[in-house]
Amino acid sequence: MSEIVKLEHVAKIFRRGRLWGSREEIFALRDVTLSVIEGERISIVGESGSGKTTLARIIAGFEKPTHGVVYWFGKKVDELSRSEQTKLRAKIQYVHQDPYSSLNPSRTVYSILADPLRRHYDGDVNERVVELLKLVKLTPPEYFLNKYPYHLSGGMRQRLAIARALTASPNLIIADEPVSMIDMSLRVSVLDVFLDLNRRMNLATVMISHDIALAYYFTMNGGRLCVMYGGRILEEGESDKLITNPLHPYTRLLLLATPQHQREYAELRLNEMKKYFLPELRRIELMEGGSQACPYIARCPFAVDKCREGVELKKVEPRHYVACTRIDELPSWIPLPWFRPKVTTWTG
Amino acid sequence: MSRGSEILEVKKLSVVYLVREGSIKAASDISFSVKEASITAIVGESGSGKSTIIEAITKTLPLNARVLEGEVRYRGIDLLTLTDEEYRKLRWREIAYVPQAAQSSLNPLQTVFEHFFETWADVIGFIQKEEMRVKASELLENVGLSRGVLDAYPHQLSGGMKQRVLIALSFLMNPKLLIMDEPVSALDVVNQSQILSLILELYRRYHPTILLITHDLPVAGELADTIAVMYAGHMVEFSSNKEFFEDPLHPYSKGLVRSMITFSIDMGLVSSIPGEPPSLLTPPSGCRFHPRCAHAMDICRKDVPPRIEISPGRWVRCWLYAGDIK
Repeated sequence: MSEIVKLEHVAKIFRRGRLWGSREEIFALRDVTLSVIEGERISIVGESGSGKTTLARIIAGFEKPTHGVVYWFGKKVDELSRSEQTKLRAKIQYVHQDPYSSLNPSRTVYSILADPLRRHYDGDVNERVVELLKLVKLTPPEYFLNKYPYHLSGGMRQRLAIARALTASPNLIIADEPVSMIDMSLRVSVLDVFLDLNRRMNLATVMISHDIALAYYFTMNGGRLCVMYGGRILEEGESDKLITNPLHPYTRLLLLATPQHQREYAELRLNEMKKYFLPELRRIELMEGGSQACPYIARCPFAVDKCREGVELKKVEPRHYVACTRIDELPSWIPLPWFRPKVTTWTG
Repeated sequence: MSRGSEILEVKKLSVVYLVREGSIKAASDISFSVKEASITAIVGESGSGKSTIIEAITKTLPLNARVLEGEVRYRGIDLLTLTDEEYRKLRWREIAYVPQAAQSSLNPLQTVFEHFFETWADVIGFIQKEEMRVKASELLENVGLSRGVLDAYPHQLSGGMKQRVLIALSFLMNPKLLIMDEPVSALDVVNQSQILSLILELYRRYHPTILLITHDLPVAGELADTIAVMYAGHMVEFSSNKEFFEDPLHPYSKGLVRSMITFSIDMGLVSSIPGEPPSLLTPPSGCRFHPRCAHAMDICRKDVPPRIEISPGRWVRCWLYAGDIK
């Protein structure tokens, strides 16, 4: 299995400040190492400001990392010639969050798909347009060809955006919060298009989400899940392992923070969360520049001095890594009565 | 607290929006009632008409909206017939509205204290600043904010803090009915849970009647004792929380419950509702869900189903249950 993308110790620093004033450095990513293998499903989950979108943009080549190396198909991106870069970039496609602004409103569905196909596809363009529409379940295709994006609902637009990403026959799709702007009854249909493409065409997919339940839905039965906070990956591993045996206090917090639907458990859930985070940020003088400290330290009730010295992802079991110095001291994870991730085996 | 009596009753409410292309039938023939000291959640997707209902109740409908018919009775008074001046006497004191924090509901040029001060001055009259500071800091404490927030401007606050300020402000005059518009959307999950526990805590302490709208089914499930489901301008089901999640009646409700992605359900069985919601300029005839419904019959295409009472306080608008009334 070959690696499509590999990031090694990647950091991204954004600088902001006035023209003559002092400059402030914002560490959007710190020391991230991650690879995406052909045909893989990965979810990256984190709150706003966790660096998940920056990570996605670096994978796609929209941003250059400040430190570290990015490989595309085994080659260092920095050392690629311009033409090679253009060629490989097309193989990594990006689906944006907002299907209301990512599609050109003055183009028909047909031309949104046919124009990029003329550039990337050697066969019959018209046939391929129809095929693509069928792949993303916009059927019957003839009905959609002459429609404009404003004729379509959010879910349909997002599926059209996926079809457009497929015009370049990519090996990897990066989907940045693909369903956060879509109504709940249609979310599953968009996610299922990604899952279907992954299964039928072995298309690797990285999905960015702030919702760990959604992230899990996308990667259950063999996918991978990365939990990010403060620009770092805090826990990473096979989705099913990570959800049944979450080890980082922040991962546990996220799992508990997802609303369930039964009223009798609401308070139990909300109380349990308090074990894993401090309501008031702890004031500590750290976080300067390239600090290796655990980013969760300010909110972690288990934090001790050694958490400042640095954390790195360590293997705790096959295909499960955690960046926490305190995992041996955490209380054991007893799932609450309502917590029952996946019971039926997914058959699609 | 007289629990059980009805504090709000909406009867046959129909609202349309006039637009260039025609009229958007945003809410058609809506009837439901809210019991005193209960929490009722109206759930629905965007464009289902849930906001239209609370805008009609709070008299904040946009200018192109027309109420075709119906009544909104608050303790017997029809709110729709009140003049703006008469409604002002109820606003804040009886009925308070908590808008979505994300929609920049706070004035960017005013400090948090000025929001409290001016609201009081506007509704009740003059108050000493010192007295107001004491009152406001108590209210802020109730929602878990320090008194330091009083002198902050909205841009200095995070989304979660703004939502807390709005909730504190809504309690300023101890209202009987609180109307909340998506109280936890657009917040990070951790913030979201904190606001949820805050709402539950305030409810336990003051027992206001709460009517909230949300698109998030699990959130509605954790907060509300009664769930009302909106689809394309129709209210299709009205149930107690437990009955709704255990045995949803309307095919749309069934679909919604099955499309929920959360850890309290079997994720292997999650499925979506086929099709897309209709345009409300030209809504489908009869039951508006029939084009997406697996059980649609001839009558569903022709006639709008009536309210069919299944058990006391529980009803559904679906022809599948029409046999039950005969």
